[in-house]
Amino acid sequence: MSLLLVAGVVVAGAVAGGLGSLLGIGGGVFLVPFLNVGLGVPFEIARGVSLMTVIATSSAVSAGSAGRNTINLRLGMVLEVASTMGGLVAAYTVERLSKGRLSLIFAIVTAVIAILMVTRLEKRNVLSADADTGALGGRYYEDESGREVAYRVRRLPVALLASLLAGAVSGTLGIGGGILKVPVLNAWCGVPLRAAAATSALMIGVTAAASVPLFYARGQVDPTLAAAAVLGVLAGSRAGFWFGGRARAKWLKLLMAAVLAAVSLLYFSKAFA
Amino acid sequence: MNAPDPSLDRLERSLGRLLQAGVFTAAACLALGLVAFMAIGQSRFSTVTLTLGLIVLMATPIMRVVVSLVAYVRMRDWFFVMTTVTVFVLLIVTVTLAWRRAAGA
Repeated sequence: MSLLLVAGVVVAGAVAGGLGSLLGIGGGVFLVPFLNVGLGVPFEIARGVSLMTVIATSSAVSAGSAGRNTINLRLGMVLEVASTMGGLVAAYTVERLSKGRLSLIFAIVTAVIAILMVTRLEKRNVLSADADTGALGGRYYEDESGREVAYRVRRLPVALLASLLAGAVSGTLGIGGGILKVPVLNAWCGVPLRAAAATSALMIGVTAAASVPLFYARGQVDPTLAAAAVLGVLAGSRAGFWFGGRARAKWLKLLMAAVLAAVSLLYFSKAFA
Repeated sequence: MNAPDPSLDRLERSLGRLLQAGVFTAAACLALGLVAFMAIGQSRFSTVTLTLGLIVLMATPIMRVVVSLVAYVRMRDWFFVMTTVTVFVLLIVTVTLAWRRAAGA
């Protein structure tokens, strides 16, 4: 393995991690095509390496937000039953998918993510602090309003289904899958965006941990490339977080949605080649 | 359920410290292994440190589930004990399948 490739993976990780934290999503959806198309790493290695960075991002982000009560530990654990199941089943069965089918799934998912990125709606969903939150709801201090707010979880089966699907997509494609379930939690299940994002960030680590050991055992996690990608992503997401405070990233969101649309087209063409 | 829940708040903070320690240890091992690999090529040292780093990384979320389980048992919150046990069992299934695969290969 050449040092140039290792350096390339560090840079790819840093860019993916930086974009991910600027856009408020994980960097996996950028890292997989960077590695696969940009650096010529086989898809199954790119997936294994990317899942390692998903765990690193999840641990680092959750450690940073712990103590603000935006992570809903109870809701997260309930949804993790579904997401780890999705991840495990995907990792166990993904070898039966043909290369073309896998490319097609990646193409569809990147197209969906590109659309979600530009159309993300935000429902506030908050109740006054003395409202009944039920067994799974939560409360946290909201910086913008300077008050404690509460919320109640609705339509739990929908949230479970979205988590199962996000887990399966994560194990199949090597991305975190947060962007697939955060809009569902926010739009349909009554969870404020901040709590949905923090809870999802915690969940993606354990979801990846339900699939990546299988890829590791199959030799699909190259240790050197994984180390390079994890260190790159950690550095990049820290830098992105630091810049994120000062720049409104609307144009970046549009640009990256366009990049993802191009990636999607590329994988569509691979699928039908 | 409506009063702010101090035991859940404490759990969140201790999980935060656990995740921080896990990702820090993993990153340190991976950095050492990667630098060794770049400097002198593949060696026993680089293989061991890289493997260790990746195993710590994968084990961190699993440890998070274990610590949560202990906390819910202490709170006698049996619904969440069951939920957490289910997640833990799924993770153990993955690790067992992976172990068998590695041993068989």
